[in-house]
Amino acid sequence: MVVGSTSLITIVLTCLVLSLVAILLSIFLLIKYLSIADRLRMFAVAINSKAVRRFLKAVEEKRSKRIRKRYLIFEVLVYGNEVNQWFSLKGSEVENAIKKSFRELFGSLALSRSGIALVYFSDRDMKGVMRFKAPYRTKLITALGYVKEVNGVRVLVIPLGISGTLKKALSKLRLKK
Amino acid sequence: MGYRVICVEGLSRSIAHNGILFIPRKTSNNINDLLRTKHHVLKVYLVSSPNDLKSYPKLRSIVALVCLSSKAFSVLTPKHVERLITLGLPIELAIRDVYKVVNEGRNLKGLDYLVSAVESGRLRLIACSGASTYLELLHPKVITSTLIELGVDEVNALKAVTSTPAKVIRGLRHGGR
Repeated sequence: MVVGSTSLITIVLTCLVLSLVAILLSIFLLIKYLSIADRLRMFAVAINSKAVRRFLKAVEEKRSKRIRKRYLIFEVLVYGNEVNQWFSLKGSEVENAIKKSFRELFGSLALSRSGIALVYFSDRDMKGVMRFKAPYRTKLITALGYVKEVNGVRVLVIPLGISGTLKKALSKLRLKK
Repeated sequence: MGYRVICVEGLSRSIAHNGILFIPRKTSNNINDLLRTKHHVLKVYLVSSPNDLKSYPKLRSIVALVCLSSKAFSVLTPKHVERLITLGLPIELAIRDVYKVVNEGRNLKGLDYLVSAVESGRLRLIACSGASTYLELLHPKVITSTLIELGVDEVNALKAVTSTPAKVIRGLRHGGR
């Protein structure tokens, strides 16, 4: 009877000790996990911080000193009473209209820095290629939408694509005929 | 131009032509007027002043979209934008109206509040050309570029012309892709 009661006590004690160890272990792991989570959060904040972003941007700018050129392929659609099958617009007129709308939207400084120039324009197809500096891509496309008329004729300028070289731009233009 | 679906005001039923689905659309700032409209029509609530947002609890079950007119761009306050957020409906922005406001030299502060709400992910934006004639249509690339220039993130700008309008149109069950 006595032997039975002592064995029961030992079993209860071992159970208690084991549960205590399990609790301690879980607390230890919890603390460790929290510290890791904190560290991860701090790391994420550090990555997103303005200073780091500015530093990365500066490194990126240093690496690529040269601002790349791009070529935009576009099409001009015309509409009006004076428009017939022999009607066509001059390249210089289209270029001036696009530059005018760009200047109205973003100013003269942005226009001169963007390096916009008409490289090729086909009077027959009313399609052309325009050169510009790569950072001004969205500005130029926005300006295309802002063009209302060329020489008193209502027009719609549609961007067809952007290319890195003039050769590819011209080949794309030929494919899109 | 790359459009798959065009919503046209005053159309009686949906028409598929040259691979483009034309869907009828009804724009009004009168809720009763929109209630009487058939279920397959895209119902758009036009907001031209903050007073139009007073009856907003009713709107959720009636309309699919809330459209902001050019007048609203300069009169919207953060409070009204919060009201639009609680409404939970996508906001339609006509780019032609933005050009109009820019051309007139009016303040775009209301639009700035809207853009910050879109950037925080609390508001869904749909951008459209807002064309009333054929030559007023804008290419989707022009729309996204304009949104980027207005301060919208590139991902959100692309969503505004692709997935968000697609979800709204799918809700009308016209069998579109």
